[in-house]
Amino acid sequence: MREQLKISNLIILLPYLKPYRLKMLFAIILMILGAICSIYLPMVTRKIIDVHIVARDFRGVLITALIAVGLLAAISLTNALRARLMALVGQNTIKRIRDDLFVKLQTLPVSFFDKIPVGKVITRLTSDVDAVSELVSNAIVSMVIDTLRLFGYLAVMFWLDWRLTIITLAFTPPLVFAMTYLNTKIRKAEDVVREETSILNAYLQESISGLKVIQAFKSERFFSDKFTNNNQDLLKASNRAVAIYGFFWPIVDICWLFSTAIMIYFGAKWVVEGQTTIGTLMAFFAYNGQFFGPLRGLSQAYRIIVRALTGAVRINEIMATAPETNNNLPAMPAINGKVEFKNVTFSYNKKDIVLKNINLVANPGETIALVGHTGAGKTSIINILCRFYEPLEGQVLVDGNNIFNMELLSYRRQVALVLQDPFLFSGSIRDNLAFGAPNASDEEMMEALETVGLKEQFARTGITLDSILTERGSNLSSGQRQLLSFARALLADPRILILDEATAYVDTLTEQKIQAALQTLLKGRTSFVIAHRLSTIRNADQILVIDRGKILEQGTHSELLELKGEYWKLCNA
Amino acid sequence: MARDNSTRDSRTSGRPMGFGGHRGGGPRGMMMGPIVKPKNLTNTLKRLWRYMYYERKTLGIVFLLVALGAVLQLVGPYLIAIAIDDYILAGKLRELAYLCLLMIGIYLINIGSSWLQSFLMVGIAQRNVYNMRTDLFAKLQELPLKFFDNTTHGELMSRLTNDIDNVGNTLNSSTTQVISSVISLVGTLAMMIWLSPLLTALTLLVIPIMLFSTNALAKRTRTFFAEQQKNLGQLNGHIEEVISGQKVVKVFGREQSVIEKFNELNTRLKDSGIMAQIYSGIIPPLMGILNNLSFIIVAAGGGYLAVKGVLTIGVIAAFINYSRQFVRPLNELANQFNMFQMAIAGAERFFEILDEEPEPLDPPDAVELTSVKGAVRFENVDFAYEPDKPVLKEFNLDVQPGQTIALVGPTGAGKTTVINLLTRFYDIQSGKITIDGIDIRKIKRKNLRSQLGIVLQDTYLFSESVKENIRYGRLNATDEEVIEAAKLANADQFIRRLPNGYDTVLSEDGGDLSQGQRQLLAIARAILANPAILILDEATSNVDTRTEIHIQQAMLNLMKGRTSFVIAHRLSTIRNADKIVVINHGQIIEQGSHDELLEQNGFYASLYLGQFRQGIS
Repeated sequence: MREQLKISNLIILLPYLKPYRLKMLFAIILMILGAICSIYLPMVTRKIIDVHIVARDFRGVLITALIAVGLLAAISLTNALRARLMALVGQNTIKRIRDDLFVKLQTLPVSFFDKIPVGKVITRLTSDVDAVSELVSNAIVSMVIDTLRLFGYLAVMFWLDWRLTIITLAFTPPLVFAMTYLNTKIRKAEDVVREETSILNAYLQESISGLKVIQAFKSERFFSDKFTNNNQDLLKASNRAVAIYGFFWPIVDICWLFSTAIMIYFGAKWVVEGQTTIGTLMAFFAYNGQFFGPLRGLSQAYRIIVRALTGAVRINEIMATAPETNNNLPAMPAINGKVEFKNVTFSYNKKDIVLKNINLVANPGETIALVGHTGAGKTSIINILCRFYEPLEGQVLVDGNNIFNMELLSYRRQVALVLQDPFLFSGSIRDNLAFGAPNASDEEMMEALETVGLKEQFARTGITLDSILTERGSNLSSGQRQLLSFARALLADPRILILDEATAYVDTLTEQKIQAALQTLLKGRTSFVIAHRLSTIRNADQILVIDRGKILEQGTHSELLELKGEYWKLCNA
Repeated sequence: MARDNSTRDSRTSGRPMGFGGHRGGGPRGMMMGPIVKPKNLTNTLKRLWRYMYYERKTLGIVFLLVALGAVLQLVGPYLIAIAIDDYILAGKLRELAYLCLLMIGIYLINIGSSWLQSFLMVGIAQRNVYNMRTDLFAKLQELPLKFFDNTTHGELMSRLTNDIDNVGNTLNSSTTQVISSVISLVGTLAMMIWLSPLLTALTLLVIPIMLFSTNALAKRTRTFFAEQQKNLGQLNGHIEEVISGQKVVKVFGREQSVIEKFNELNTRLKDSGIMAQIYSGIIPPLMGILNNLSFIIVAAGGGYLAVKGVLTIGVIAAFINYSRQFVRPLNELANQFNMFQMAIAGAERFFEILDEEPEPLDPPDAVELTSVKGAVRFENVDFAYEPDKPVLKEFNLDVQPGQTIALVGPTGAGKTTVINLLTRFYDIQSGKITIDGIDIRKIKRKNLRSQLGIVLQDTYLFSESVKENIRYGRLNATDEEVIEAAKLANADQFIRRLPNGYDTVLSEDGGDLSQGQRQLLAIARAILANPAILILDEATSNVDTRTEIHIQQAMLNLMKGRTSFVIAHRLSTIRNADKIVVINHGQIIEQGSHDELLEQNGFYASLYLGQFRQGIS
């Protein structure tokens, strides 16, 4: 992990920052100006005390005070401007990185998404991009300003009185210790707390989701005990974190206290002996506390950089993944519907063969039912047909054209996929229908709804094309979702239809509707159906019984029954 | 003694509270969310006090320590005035050394007391959080299912975690902060006036500007951050949707439109982000500047008075320190007030759950069934989830011991309700349900449920070993019994093929098992429970044919010799049932055996002819 965190990973930032280089330069100049002003400020106080008060020069006091006000105005102005500039640069940079990342994601093959869980992809687009952007909007600023302040203070202090400076610095090592050593310990303890918290939360989540089971099996007591144990672990971890944390500020305070007390004593001694002035001593009091800020800022900047690097590495990973489109290929002509698999062998990981030597021919308009156990290879056939994955060997021909040598979009536009989980998007019903056919008119949409038997049902329950679906269409029944996804596919009017038949919770009446709609949908298209219902299977022109990546039996319902083979066994189960 | 104020301020905001599950992840501090006002302050405070009451002694010590710290804080600057005027200017170095030692002593006491104080307070807060969480969890176990059906799980989770954490954090920091802020505010003001009324007046000039501007800015910042959060949520939602629906997006070739929408949401997020960042970036420097401004005013004014000989340099120095100390508690109080409000609102949501009606207690004369034969009767049962929407009307059903009853009908017809009532997850409004002639309302609820075995359509599996998951059926079952049950459920075979066999730990909700395997485990659970009456919500989800056969066999094993209610979807199940009950619109419209119902040529016959017969080859 450490090796990967090379600064060079941050090179991705450069092209994004380039358009803002002038703005950033300006911001840095502003930072320098602001830092100089704030370093100079305590000197003004010193002047008031040492020069004017001692000389009883009230005009001098006023003038110097005015200079101080001027300095303050300068600081505030530079700060405000700088904040605005960096906000612009930072937020624009994240936005553009995020845009590019998302566009990139859209070009990635399905195999990428099959490997990485959704949650992780979201993290890439949010937390990781945020981590990188924090570098731009915070860490850069903080590194510049804090370094300037740190060295500026040091320089001025040495210039004022080197002995007092050494007294001030004498307590920096324990301070640094407190900040680094304890900070790591605290962070570790906090990690434990976070872990315990997430264990407890995961446990809670489960016990709430599984409540029916818990109550039905009367295991409440058992659960409460386990919860109490988890809760106690969390309490212990929290107490430990707090105990460690409790030492942090006392150490800082004690360091500060001793350095102040020693400074007062020696400072006073030197004032009395005439080696330094009261004003200088006062200025030193001001500088003494200021020292802590830049140090803390720098250590935070370091953490941000590490986080940003981790984020950048992950972003780079995605950016470096090969996309699926190849635009130099010829466009797929209008599909007639003949589909052929020639000696297709396929594997997801190039090791375990999932499909072996698959040969099949589907004539235009035929319905092919794919039958077989879970894991037999049905989904893989579909994945290849959709061009989500490429076969290891063999060819897939549509009207004699190898689909992997055709331009991707021109092919996919003529294919429709209806999944078992009829994925609907949040938005109106119209938006969802338009997903299949962006240019469809309202009339066409209503027609499609009517064909699948939803028009009347929607009208009765007051659902219109403008009705908004919640996420995943959860405000529709599962049957309605299924039918809506049929309508979506119908509008897309594909030449090749690929369908993973759903078997999920629908009542018998809805079931009938789905069956009817399915027949309409299949009509006149070459269709591949992962079939679960006997009726669908029986109506198919060809049934492929697939087992362990091979086609075991092939033929019509009655042909296969006569074979008295695997299909016959399945039917008589 | 002029310490960097921004450093000091960060002490209070940066201190970890020990339990921060919700921390991290951008600018999501407690201050940034919208402030929810508490509804009934005094009542909530009273109830919170009941939790604090156990800690009252420690709490008393904490308060004393806080007060001590605040007072000691006041002494420091005054000692500096003495040091400068009486010793440094007078050149009395020996006395100065003593004074320095005195100061070190005082500050050491201060540091020690504040350490002890925060240590004690955190302990109090954490024990409170612990108790609250335990109480809430225990309460959740008692609540009727109705409650969970009406509340989203996310909401419950947030109450169990964020709300309670908020209360704890606030108890921890706010209470002591408020006390110490008030004491130091009053004390500092008194010292300032005592030292120089004129300079005090000058200092107070800046304070309204300071309070006003930070308040206005903080309010602005909060709205921008809230907006940023909202936009971020929408963006994440979009990503989640698009990534999960990636196949659909690709097949319909809608990448471009998805990207456009992303662009739009992303731009919105950027714009709100810029505003939030600008405003939040202004506050700290502004505070610093205003602090310095007041410093300069005091320095200049003090300089004038010193020139006139009214004040000594030491007094000015002390005064400058006091004026700095004065601003901090003011800001602190404003912050604490907001946090306090949020915490109280959180506490109110917490108490709301505690106040939920639990499942009613068993009546005193409730009986326990020992050997149940399994005769079940529904007599004129009326039931509604919501008062004006009856689900069951005049529902009658008579089941003999050992019979299998298939409940058939469209979704929403009332099939699940029958089961919810039998288990007493919900209670009926009128009529009677009896088991072996005894009204189920007169049976102890636990005893009743222990006689019922329930296999739900969506089996919930816990992230524990397969063995433990089956054991939920009967917690005291031995490993042998568990395996025996798995064998009867036809689950043994696939379990043995899992990486660690029966000890394989499942991912959350058994996500790594297939639907069919999950069902087999649920059946094993029910077999282990060995109930007299069985309730089965037959799953229809995608199972391949071989698994399907396994499930069928397992179910037959399970139903053997028990009264069984099956919400049936499979033809074979329905045909094998002793009695088919066809439910539509909450009423039994037909009942009888398969053949009888076909003869009646009614609703069932039409269902059957419409769909099922196609299945017979």
